Amino acid sequence: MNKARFLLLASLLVSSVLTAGSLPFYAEWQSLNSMYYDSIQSGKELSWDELYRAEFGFKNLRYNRMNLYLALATEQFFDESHIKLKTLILDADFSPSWILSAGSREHGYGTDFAMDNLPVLMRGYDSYNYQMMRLNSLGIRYNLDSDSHIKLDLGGNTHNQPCGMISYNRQSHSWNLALSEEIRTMDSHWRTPVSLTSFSGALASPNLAFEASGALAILPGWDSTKAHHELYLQAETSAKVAENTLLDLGAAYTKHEYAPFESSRYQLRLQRPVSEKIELIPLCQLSTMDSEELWQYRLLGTIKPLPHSQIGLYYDYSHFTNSKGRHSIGMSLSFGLDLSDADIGM
Amino acid sequence: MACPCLLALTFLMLISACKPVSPDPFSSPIVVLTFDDQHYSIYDKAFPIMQEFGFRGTNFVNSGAVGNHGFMTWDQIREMELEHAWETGGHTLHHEQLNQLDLDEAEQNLNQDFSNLIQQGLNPRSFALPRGQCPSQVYPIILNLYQNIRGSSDFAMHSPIDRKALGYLAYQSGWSAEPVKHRILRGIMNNEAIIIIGFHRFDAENEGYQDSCPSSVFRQILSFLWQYNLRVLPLHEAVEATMLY
Repeated sequence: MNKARFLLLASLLVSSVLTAGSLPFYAEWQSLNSMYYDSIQSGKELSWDELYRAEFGFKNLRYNRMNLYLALATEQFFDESHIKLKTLILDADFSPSWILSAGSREHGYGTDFAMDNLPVLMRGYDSYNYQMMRLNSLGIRYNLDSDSHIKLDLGGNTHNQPCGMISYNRQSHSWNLALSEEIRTMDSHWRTPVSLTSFSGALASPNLAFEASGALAILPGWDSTKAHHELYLQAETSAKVAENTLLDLGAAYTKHEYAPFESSRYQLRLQRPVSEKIELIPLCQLSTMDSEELWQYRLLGTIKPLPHSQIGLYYDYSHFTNSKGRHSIGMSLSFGLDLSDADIGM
Repeated sequence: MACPCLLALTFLMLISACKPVSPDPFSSPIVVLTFDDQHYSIYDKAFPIMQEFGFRGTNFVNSGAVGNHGFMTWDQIREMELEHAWETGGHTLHHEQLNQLDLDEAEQNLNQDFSNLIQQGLNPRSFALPRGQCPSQVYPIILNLYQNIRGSSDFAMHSPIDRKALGYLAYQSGWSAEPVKHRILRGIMNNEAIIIIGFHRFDAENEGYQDSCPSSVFRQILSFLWQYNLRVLPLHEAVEATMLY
């Protein structure tokens, strides 16, 4: 993007936001800067690892019967034209029960542990852990009642992955449940048709939060690919174990028919504030890939100077079984502005 | 009325500025094996083992030193690229550090190096900075000739890749296969898009070099890549694969 175009774009964006006043605009800046020393990489210079991410857009911008969700992101480098259309969804209400939608979004199964607030960047770079694809689709939704709906999506992407998906969602103030069945003409790895059956659910109470999701992929025999199935499962819970102290547990499991055949991740962490804005978060994580095990121990200190903003400093020690370890230090930043709480009509 | 119009105009401008990036459908990282400084042992020792596994790599060549004693010849470099689809990239004429040359010298060196590769019928699209050093004013000269620049430090590379600042892990004498295997395992667990592993010479560790890899260790590393069914591509192809629009 040339400078003139960028300036015009930026000025239009800023002026429209300012003009519109209370539009549901949001912007996020995230960065992770770290350095590691790995004792088995003898003779290697220390390296400085930098990851950056910026995202902005509008959440639920309503105009008459139309509703817009737009998220744009740019990652890693900001001096080139790499604004990524992360999500664009247009909804049109035809009646209280029927909603037609069209748009483009990332789609897949399993996200990083929602309760782990360090790898905010990873979550931005790879939104889903299993069968992630871009889904450009047309959808029709029917509201069964005020708490539940069914939806049919038809779409695909430029990687020759057409798909059709039917889903059911139900939610109340303390829990939600989603079930879906998806057929893709091409699996992301095997390049053969695949059926994906999934569920996800969440439960929240004052002292306990629980989330779980899973996907079963059934691949029929096709050319040289044998009929088989794959599985992705994930669960996490956060419990209030003492005043102001949360204990989080997470587990994720993937089974493929290609290496790594089985991989899993188990996470245990504690969140305890030491003052109004400062929190200490010790974490232990075990990642496995077939016979390999990576143990990780981290102490993260976070400062939350403003709503939607966090500064984190951490020390991390990790090692494979029977191997020397890696020491890492880093700083993670997450700054955000979110005007989307109010649902603004125009 | 002005507000919706302004917003609509902004959206149109934003969308037109976007590249609708789709992630590469393959979830595992792509591994790139690079071979610097045209040592003859690359052709004699590493190339046959790469052939056994069906892998292709990238040679970073100092074009002014090709054919010297202990180094590959142009015929061998051409054979690897033209008959076996390896990539040949630039690496300056004689491994000069670009921060030790003035701007004119650097430009002359880079242009001559690139021209030498072109004259051999090669298609250089990647450049490796000698010792990772490059003054900022030299970058435009390199980018005028090449599409990808590999530096010298190792870091996680996620999609979209910054093709003008690629990192790599250089194999060091005395290492077993373990540091490389662990680097790749961490990359898989970390959802990295590309992992670049660099080699220089082979079976010369007894001669006091700091960058020599035993053939047996190299074979173990390739076995590991094969066992994990990882895609091993020349650098330019790997970068392109992560930038599917």
